[in-house]
Amino acid sequence: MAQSTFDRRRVNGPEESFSPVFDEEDDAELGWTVKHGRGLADIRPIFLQPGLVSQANGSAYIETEKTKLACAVYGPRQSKTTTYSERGRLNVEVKFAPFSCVRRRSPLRDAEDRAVAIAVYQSIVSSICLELFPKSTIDVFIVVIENDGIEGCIASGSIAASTALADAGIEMLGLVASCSAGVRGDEIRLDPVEKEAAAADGTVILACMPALSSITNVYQSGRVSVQGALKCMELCQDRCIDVHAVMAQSLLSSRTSTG
Amino acid sequence: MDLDDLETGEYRLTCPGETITSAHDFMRGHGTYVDDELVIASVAGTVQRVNKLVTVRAARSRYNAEVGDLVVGRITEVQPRRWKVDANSRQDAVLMLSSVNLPGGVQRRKLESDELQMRTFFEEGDLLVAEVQAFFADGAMSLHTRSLKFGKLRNGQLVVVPPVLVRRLKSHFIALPCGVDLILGLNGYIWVCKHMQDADHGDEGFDAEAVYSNQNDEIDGPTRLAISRVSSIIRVLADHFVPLTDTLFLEAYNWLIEQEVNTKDLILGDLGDAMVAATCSVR
Amino acid sequence: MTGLSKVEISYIRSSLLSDPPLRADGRAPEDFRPIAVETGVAPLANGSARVSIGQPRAGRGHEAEGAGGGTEVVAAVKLEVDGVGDDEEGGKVICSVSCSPAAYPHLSSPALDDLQSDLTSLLGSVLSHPSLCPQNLVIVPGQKAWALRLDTIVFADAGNVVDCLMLACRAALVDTRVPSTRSVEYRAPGRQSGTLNEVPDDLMDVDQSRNGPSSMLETRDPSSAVDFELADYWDEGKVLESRDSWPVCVTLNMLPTIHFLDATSQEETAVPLRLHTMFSFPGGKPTSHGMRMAGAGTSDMTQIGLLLKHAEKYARNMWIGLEAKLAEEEARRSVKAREKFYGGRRR
Repeated sequence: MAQSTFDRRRVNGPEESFSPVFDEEDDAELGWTVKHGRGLADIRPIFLQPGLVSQANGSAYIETEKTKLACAVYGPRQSKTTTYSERGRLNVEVKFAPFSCVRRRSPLRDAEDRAVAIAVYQSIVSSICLELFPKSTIDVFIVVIENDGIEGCIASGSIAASTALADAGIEMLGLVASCSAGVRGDEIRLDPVEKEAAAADGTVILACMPALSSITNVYQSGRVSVQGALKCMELCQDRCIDVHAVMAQSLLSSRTSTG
Repeated sequence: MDLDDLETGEYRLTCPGETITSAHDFMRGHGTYVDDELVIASVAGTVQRVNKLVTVRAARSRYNAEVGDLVVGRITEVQPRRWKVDANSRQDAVLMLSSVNLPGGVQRRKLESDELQMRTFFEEGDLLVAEVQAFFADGAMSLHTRSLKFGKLRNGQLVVVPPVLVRRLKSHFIALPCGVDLILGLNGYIWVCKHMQDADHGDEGFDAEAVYSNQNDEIDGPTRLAISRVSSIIRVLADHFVPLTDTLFLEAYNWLIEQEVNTKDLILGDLGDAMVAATCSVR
Repeated sequence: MTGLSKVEISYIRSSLLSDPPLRADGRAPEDFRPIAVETGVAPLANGSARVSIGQPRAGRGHEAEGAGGGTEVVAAVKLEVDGVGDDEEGGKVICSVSCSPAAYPHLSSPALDDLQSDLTSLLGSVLSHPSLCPQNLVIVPGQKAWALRLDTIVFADAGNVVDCLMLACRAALVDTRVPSTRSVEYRAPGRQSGTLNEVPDDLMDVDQSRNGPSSMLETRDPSSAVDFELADYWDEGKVLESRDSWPVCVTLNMLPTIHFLDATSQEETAVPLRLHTMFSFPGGKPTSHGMRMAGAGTSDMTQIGLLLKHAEKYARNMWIGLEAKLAEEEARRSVKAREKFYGGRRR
């Protein structure tokens, strides 16, 4: 079953190990129909706190029910590479904590880390004024503490990264808000959790700058019709305006509290 | 194997390791080496004999520069007081800060601020046309853009062909009647651009804003079309390994206009063959 | 490609934004370079295909920098027998992309690895999606199934490598033949063989016969088959199910006012913002299997809506063209396979 590659730096457990099996209802249908106490167009309540990591130039911690992640921003600082670049560089790294998922994840980086990092990079790169930082690099480090669906991770990661960048005082064109949606048949549900996303036909993640009404990233996977995808994007964009208000509020209140 | 039968002008194909002749009778040139009193080929190509000199010219090789060659190059690095230029050769060529025209007069003395502001002249990725001035001890070319016809290139696009197809001509700046200028770099980089009027520059100074500017001029639709046509012609001729001369371009362009075809059809192969057949047979 | 100068980028962009839009090689914005598709290029694989966009010209090598050689990708499918986990149906698709260093001579090794893993995750997130898993990959229900490994190699990259990869993957998957298997059960000699298929008597005796649930705790319904064998038949196996759901990709490069397809490397450098759209047309209805935005730049809802409508149109054309070519290749292949099989037998 779960084959772990032999890791010389850690004490390895037994080669073959099996997770305990719980007597759980994991019927696919049920994953979609359970309402979780919110409407179809409601997203999970967001708790967003900037400035939590003191040694970073900027940071943010975001929590939406069962998705929790922390983001730290270092920079702009000197690029390590010798090649000259007129525009600044953005480097996004995502790490899933081994205890973040139902099955333990190996501490080594794998493909899923990189896929989430690329999606978050695409969401925020167009919002930063990189031409003001030649020869510099901005590092964004995201640690996922609890993971309830990859779509939620990407959306929350983008929100946290944008907030952390604002917390660090880096010049941006606007705050980036992000929202995900799941589609099953004709029904569209915003901010799906892992079970809902697994039961859905397809998912859409949208990242946009509500202040400028411009879209920075569209990520769709699974089977969706074109009209369905466009409808999802419109709903997400509407919801992003609310998310943006939350982000602005959290930044301003953290500023006023620190004076 | 006997070179006496080889008249000057005839050619013979050879490959590395093949013995050509005895070292006593002939001097060895490029593309050969001497081993045990025999002249042996070191590249695959044609054997050429000029009196007592035997050389083997490779069918396709990297560009070998000579002093006085005109090359089109791209800046790869900016270093203290010099730029490194990629000229499709074994090594990157070097363009010294003292070899470029500084704004404010052709004879202006170099200042401290020039060294710090080198990127205002050329930066990474810029294309320029220059002449080979000399060679360094390690074989790297040293370029200069001391004349007003050299310098940064704009208003056009680059086409890359094998260097062997560009012959040494009297002038490498060709102006076609359709409003398109060509700069044939001997290293295989060809710059196709809008026709430049020869402005009269005095000796007192020239407009630095213009020479080192990163702004293209206004180029209208027909000129862009002509540029794209000429680029396609060059690519097709290069694919068929036809040496490039200015008369060839004129004929090919006229043929293209007569046939009234879309430029993109040239890329699709058949039309290209037809064009090459039509133009090369006229020569 | 050591990069373009600012004036070159400005020239390419202004040509595209002019009226009518003009590209470096004279193509219209919706024109593709000639695409060549060939299947069955790897005889040892269960299915394979080679796709090249733009003719890769012989003897160009790195000199093709400015001339734009072609983008060439080879995809091959290998089926491996894999155990089935507790909660899995059986059968999965695993993709990988490997970029030959010859295709990217200017990239350093870590940058090449990054590019490889980016393309792998792009392809994997689309093709390994559970909704696209073919149903007929199960061998022995609950125990063994085929794991489909789809490996692609990029041999040359002159722009638009994602479209080329998806075309090659689709062609290789359609070309794949799953070997026919027969479930087999081991029984002690002398017993009635009442259940499954033929039981060759000379098969090895293993004390694993299960006539029924051996204990009350055994709640799973055990299929008595514990192994399988390959059938020897001329057609090399069955095709994968749901073949018309594997998508093709159309990449739209976005400028504020226009969009264009099939960018060369220079055009990709000059216009970095693009939208990869994956469409399939099962039964003629368009379904989107993935959308990815890449590159620096922003867009807005109206532009994306417009792009999606156009993308559907372009994808449909590409789909029809590819289907015709694949049908041709399939006819050719079955003739060849029949000849080979019967020709060998008669000797």
